[in-house]
Amino acid sequence: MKVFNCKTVCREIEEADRGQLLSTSVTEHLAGCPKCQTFHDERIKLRQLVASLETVAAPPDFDFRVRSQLANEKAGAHAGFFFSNFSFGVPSIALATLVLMIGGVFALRAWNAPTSGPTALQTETRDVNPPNIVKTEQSPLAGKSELTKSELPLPDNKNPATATRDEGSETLRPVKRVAKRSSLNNTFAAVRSSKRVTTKEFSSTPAPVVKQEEAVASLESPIFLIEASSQPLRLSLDYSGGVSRTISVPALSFGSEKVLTGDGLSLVRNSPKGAW
Amino acid sequence: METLSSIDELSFPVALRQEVIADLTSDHALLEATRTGDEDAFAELVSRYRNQITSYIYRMTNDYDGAVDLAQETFVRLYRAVDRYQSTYAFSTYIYRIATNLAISELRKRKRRRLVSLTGFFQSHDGSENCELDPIDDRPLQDIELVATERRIAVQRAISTLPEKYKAPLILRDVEGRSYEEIARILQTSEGTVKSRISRARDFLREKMRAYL
Repeated sequence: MKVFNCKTVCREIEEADRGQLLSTSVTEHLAGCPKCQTFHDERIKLRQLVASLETVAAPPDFDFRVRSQLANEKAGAHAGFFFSNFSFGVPSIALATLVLMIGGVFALRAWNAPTSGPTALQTETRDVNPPNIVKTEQSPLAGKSELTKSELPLPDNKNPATATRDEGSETLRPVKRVAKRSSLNNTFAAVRSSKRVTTKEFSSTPAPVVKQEEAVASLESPIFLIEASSQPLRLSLDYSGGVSRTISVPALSFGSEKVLTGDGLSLVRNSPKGAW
Repeated sequence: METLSSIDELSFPVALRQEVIADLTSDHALLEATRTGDEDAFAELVSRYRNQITSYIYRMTNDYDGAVDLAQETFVRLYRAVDRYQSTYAFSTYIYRIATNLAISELRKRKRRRLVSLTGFFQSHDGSENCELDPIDDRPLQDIELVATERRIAVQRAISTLPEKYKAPLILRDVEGRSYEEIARILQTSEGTVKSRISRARDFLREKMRAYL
């Protein structure tokens, strides 16, 4: 049996449609409960008051306004035909901004890290490894040295690149030079291995002295081989009578250095940016 | 083959013929025709719902000019989204949902802006502008129509002071006469929530309209 208390009755009054008759049991309850009867009367009056609000009519030119607004939108859509197919909402703008930021970060990193790229790594592996350096530098030079040695009427058959006046130091000189080159290349490697581009002054580093007075004098063309290094070229000229002059040419580099080989070909090597 | 000039020539039974006619002029059929580019079908929809939508938004915002603008925007949005419309529910539910969302957005914008009309201080009490709810005038009134007008204005003002979440269900239920189920669909909430909000709204209104009850 359903028990009709005040709460149930009030709910039924509340949820009843406009003009709907209440159930018999609710009507009976209202007859005996003045509180629920008051609630019922207030609700009926209130709903009548609210329902008395008339429908407000739209202006007569409402249709025309809607049509003109639609026509304006269509015209605007045709004007910007490229962007008409896109809806620019907040998420799309945020996504585009994110993509631009990520692209900017990558571009900035690529711009700021030229030494960390594959070209730099290739240069570094070529230059840092001492045996490779010796091989690549010595093989063309050695060939040329042999050629020069056979062509030139040198009395002691010395290699022009490695020849010295001192006979005793002849065997020690190449080893010393290789050691010097390796230490120089280690300096290069240290400079290149660091992320930041650094500049190192090599003018204080002693350069190998090439004294070729006899070889130069016997050459048909005044071309002789020098080590392709980053060190300055120092040319000592001994005049007769004990007078000598030394011309020192500083090493200059504009991003690349040209190494002349004996066969007329040139080998261009890229030097690290900022180091000379 | 001879083309038919009217539906009467289809020689359907009377009941079926009426059903076909009703279907051809139903909201869904008009919307389908609008989808295919029939401007007249859309104009028919506008003429059917313009007063209801304008009135509903006016009850929500208590601003006639703003209500007209929002009603236009409602139809424009309907036209734009006509391809996405799904005829699962009644068309009126769909268009009332658009109108409700627009009206609520407008109310929130106003709340953020907290607009205060400078002319409101000098307005007469003819109800043409928003102002605070005044107590009932105890002086004897001469005209019944005047009494009814004043009462309606008072009700409109009382409704406009309701919290936003109570306003829409109360108007849809007591002014528009919609069912709980339809209101729940329009507001995209449950029927229980709708009933609860309507009851709370009536309690608010009763307090504000006590002088009239």
